[in-house]
Amino acid sequence: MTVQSLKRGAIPSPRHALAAAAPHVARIGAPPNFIVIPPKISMWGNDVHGDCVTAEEAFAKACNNPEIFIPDSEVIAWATRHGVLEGANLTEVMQWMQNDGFSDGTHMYNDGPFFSVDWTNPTTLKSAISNGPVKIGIAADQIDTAWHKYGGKSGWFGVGFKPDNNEDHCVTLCGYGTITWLAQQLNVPVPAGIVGTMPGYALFTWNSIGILDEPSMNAITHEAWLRQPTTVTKPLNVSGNWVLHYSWGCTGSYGQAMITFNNDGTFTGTLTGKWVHQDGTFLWSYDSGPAKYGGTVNGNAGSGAMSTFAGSNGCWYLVKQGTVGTPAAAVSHDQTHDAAGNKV
Amino acid sequence: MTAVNLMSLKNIQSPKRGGIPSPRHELAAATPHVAHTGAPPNFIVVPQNISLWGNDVHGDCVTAEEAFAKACNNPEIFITDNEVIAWATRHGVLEGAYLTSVMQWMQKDGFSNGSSTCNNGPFFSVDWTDSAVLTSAISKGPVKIGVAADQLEAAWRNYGGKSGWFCVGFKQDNNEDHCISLCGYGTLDWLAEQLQVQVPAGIDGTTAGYALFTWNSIGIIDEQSLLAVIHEAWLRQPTTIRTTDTPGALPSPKRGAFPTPKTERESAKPYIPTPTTLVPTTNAAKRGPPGGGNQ
Repeated sequence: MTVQSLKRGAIPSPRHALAAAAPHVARIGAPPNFIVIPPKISMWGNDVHGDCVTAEEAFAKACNNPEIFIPDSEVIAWATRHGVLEGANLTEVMQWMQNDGFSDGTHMYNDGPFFSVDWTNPTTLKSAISNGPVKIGIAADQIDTAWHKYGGKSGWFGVGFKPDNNEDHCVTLCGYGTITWLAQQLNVPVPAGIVGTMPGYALFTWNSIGILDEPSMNAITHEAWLRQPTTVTKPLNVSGNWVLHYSWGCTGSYGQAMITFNNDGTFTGTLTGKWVHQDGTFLWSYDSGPAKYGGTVNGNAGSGAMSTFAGSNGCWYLVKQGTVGTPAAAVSHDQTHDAAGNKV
Repeated sequence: MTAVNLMSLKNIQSPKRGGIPSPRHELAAATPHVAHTGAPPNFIVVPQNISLWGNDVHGDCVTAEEAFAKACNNPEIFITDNEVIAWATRHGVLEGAYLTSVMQWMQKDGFSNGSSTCNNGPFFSVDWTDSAVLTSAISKGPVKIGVAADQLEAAWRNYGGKSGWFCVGFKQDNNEDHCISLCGYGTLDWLAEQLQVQVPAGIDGTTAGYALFTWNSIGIIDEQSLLAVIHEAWLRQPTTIRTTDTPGALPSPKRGAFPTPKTERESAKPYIPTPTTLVPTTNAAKRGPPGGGNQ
């Protein structure tokens, strides 16, 4: 078998987090059967790292209509940056995702606020799933066995699970219905010995979607959460005209340069070059000099540091043209280097 | 332990516990209490009459805590030990209970107290790690909590089981096995003053703490010790709904069905919500003598 060893990485949310959370209240009108099957899913690092809680966020983004596919590299980078590559509380990741979600260079994909879901109440759970993928914490030993039994391909079945309190993995519930109906949606037959008329749930983990019967889901689940909305898409609105204030040596006096960020990843103005927004960091470099700039941009302002990687370092901030009320900096015309890092 | 305390302890039976941790899905399903503005900086309710309510003999702490909550009503409602034990027996929780199960049953089938029944209002989860939320909840009514009780019992015994005992320096303990009530908060100095006891040497009276009821006494616990042993917290709103039989108001049997007994809120007399609480700023404002419940 070529299937890699599987990782997990969930740490149970503390009981006080459950006590503090507003519960999802079942809405009327949830359909009798429901499933979302994104065209493209991935391991999102969970074959190598214990980043299941972050990988689940990527799956939730993939459930968007239209689908938003987050590359594995961005998922791993996000988990690394937040210190949760090898384990996380479900609630802390959802908290961070509300303001600092995944990025694809042009957009941020954040979470909405999250609500606790009583997974033992089928009406509540189905209502939640019909409103968005439900993030759950589970004990994964039996899931691991079921996944391997079917070769890790979508359409695996988990039935007859025993209660297991060792919560160590985070997965998504993305559908519900009878087992027969769910199997039809995943284009697989219901194996002999499994009652197709039983209610069940569709569950994402490890680059696959499987089917669990309801008692098995209840036997291993220890928390459940609904994000509302699941995804909040925000453009990384850096395109436009900016004034760059740069200070080689961080002396407190700044030179100025005009800079216009274009949507195609280039910039023009006093000098030209290329920019990218990656893993939450705004980076640009000049065509005519060695300086590399890195930092963050939020709204109409940004700040960071730059280096020529040859001994010259400095500080910078950006202000979008037309922005009022920004702090004035001392204007200097005696910078040792120009904005691109060339000696003057 | 002092000789006096040892003497007192001879008369104290071995206390029991009986709390079973509420399942996580119960916490997930519960609506959280949202902190209200205006909670007083210090607060305590000290009922005049408290009791062991069977918890010296039985593991009925979850039901005994309900009796204490009724005692916090204004005017005080004293539920007899017999009624508490009978209620717990009838519901199969004389030797252990989930906190949420008892609060659920208490909403429709509360204690009987003479001609009235004392039910609970709906309950809300309380985030005990957020002091603003927890103090807000306590100022609204006694907060029912689940705790790991080994260190509590040691502290209670250390002070001879009389109100005014202190809990400080507790270590983390996840073995939730007991249910008690939080009925006050403030600095340790202030709480000790309300219970008319001295803060023992070595304890910083300026630190924040809580008043807690268990085993026929009210003790004082510092905030860090509470956080080390607590695993769930609940606020009933309102804490108590008295349902009274009003025979004179019953219609003639000839006319058909008996009306459902009405709550005081619904009765002809306007019901003025009586806060189960008291906001003492001086000793005179306290409702009962410290340790007065040690019968």
